Amino acid sequence: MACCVAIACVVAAVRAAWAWILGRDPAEEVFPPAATWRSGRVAGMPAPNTSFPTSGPIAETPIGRPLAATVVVYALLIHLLVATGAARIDESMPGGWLARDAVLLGLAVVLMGVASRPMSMPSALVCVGAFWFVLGMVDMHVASGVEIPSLIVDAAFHLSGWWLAVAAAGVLIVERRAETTPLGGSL
Amino acid sequence: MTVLTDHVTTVELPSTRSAIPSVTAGRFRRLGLTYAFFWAAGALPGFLGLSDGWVAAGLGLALPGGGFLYGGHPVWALGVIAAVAVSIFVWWALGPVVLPPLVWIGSAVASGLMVGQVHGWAAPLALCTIPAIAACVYIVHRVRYAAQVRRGAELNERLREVEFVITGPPGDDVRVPVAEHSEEDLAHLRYALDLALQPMDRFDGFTRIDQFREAATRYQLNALGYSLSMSQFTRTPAFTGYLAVAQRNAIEKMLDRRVWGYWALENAWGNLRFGRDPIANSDNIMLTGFYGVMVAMYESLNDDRYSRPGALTFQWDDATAFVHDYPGLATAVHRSMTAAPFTLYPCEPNWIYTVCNTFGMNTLLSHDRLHGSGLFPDLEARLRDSYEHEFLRPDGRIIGVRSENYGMSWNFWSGSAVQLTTAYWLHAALPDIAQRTWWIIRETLARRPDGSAVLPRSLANRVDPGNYRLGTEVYGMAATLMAAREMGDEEWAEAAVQSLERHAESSPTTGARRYAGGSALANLWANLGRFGRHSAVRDLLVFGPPEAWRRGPVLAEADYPDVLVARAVTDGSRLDLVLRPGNGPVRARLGLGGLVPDRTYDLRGAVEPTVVASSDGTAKFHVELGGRHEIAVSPR
Repeated sequence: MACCVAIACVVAAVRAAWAWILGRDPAEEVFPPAATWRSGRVAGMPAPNTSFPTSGPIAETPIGRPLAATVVVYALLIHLLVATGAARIDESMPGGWLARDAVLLGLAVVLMGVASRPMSMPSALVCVGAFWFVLGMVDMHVASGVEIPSLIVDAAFHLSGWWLAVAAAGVLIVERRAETTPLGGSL
Repeated sequence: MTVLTDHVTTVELPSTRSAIPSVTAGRFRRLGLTYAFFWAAGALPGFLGLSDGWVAAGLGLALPGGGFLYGGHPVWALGVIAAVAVSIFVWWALGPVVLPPLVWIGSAVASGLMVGQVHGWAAPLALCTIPAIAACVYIVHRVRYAAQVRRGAELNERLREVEFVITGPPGDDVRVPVAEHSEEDLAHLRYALDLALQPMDRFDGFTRIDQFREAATRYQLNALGYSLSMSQFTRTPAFTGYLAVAQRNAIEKMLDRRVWGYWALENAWGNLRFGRDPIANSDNIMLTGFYGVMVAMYESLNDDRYSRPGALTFQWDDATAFVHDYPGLATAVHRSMTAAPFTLYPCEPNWIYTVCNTFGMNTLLSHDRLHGSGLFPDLEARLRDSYEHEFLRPDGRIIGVRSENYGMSWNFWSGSAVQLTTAYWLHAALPDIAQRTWWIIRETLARRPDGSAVLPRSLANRVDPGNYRLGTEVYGMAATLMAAREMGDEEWAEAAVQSLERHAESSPTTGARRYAGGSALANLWANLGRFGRHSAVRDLLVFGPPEAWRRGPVLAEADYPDVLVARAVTDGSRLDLVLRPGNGPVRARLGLGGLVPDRTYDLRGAVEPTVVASSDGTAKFHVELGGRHEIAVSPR
């Protein structure tokens, strides 16, 4: 029973977070628009064996929300890394954690307000990956706000964003080449 | 003429053989050996006295996070355990088989590289934890198994006295006369028709979340097709027109790459294969089986266009197409079942679902009837044995999911809503097991003071798999309605309808009706139950419609939504219709088909008194529709 509750909680949490990032409830249930059918009309599509997937409306989301979510995840992960000893923050920075978190929270709010351009999911993931890479680089190696002593962890941390961006760009290229809409959730 | 070939039987739970059935036991042995290899590899560095880094990496293999625990990073260890749990969840949900080993082995390597202050006590802990957990799980399983055996024995005492009616060929009047849609029925049918009759590349009104799990568009299209076919079978078998068009649209939307393209990804990350053909593979019964039933229902009631070679072609791009047809779907199911160790075979790579395999069986059964093949009898004994032993608890609960490679299962998929859906679709192929399952689950149902039905309070019964929403009863009640009606238990069917009606809402513009909060999938299942009747699925898939329906006149043309068809039935020569206006009073033109060429037909209830069939057996006439209106077409 406990695992059922856990699974349900995970599903509910993921669903709520997903809805927030997309800026809409993907499961919002509505009536379909009224259909009409006139006698004598040629039915359906030309013929099943000649059918080719046609483009439908692509689900798009304002880019600000995923970027804001990225900032929040980044802030939480830095807390986790510092708690585990894998990272250190600059103790001399005025305000310490409070200032860091306030700046990051402010950045998230600004991104939500400013970055409203709608993007498809792969495009958004390219942006998120690149943003993660840039955010970490600026925080750690420009502002020196955080230090990760282990070169392996440091590289893995930055490259995770890079890999995400590259993978999403690959999906984007394949989709554009095939001139179809993306797989999954794009209907 | 009615030919009563029903027979009465008793159905006990099978005598139990062992706590773990044979094929499953083999899978557990494989799981144990796989872990034993990890354990041995993990223990070796310590025994050989290698450096702390190697020891930590080894302990990370023996227990996820064990290396971090040894290396002085307990929070990382907890993180790894959580990550492995999530990776197993994602493996189950989406099928990426590489994910759990990647996280497990990757974290072990990382722990070796990050070793700090060594904690010696962590070594025995890491080596003993999983064997200890496995022993505990086995003990818990034995305790629960013993309780289930006792419960099963109690049930068998009572099952010996219970008579189940196994329905046979229903005869020409199909067991129950063709019913008439009520105004509410027609409003629910309009919801389905509005979904199906939109342009082929549009999916407005469908739930749009993902293409992998239960909210995927394919399941909604399947349910759309089933519910429209059921409406035709039980209410309007002599109406093709836009009802047949709507079914064809649902079938042909399945060929849209956005609907089936998920398989290329699942096959790649689940089987490490790069084939993109959604049919020619050894998994994916969640498409092949479900699609086969959809096409079978259409072909049983209308025409055989999807049995023509290449009629179901999945076009990936200009250069790549996967050419299939209905016989090809049935052959694929048969081939996969024949080769599968459990006979039941997976949906997502590795994960076998009992409910999904009912669709595979139904595809075989209907193909046997429509095309004279013998696919189902070839596998029936193996399938029955698997359902009765590998996928049945001693207390009669069907096990909903099992890992094909490692035998694992869990109770979440044994909830009442899943059992009811399985019983419904199992009724065609294995009616005795289906009815016994309904009998067991029915005992757990309760009623509110107003008489409406309630499923036992559990999360599994309060989730709508069509949109992953928690705390809703719409899906559970739709499943209850389907099963109750199919088993001929009208008392519980009405109680389920009463529950659903608490959520009813109407479109202010079209009058279409649905259940608020329910996904498109749940609403279409509810339609399937609403339009069902005793043994309807079994009659449609196993025995088929009576011959008279196929040779008599039909209403072949009507405008939607001007003309709503509440009843349309033929006895082979005469046609009886009940129509209602869907958009206010109207003078409508109707088209008939299946008439005897050049023959004169008397019309009752039409503007014209008679009509003469053309050389192709068609004719047109007019009708003034202001409310419920009966029309009779009879040969002179």
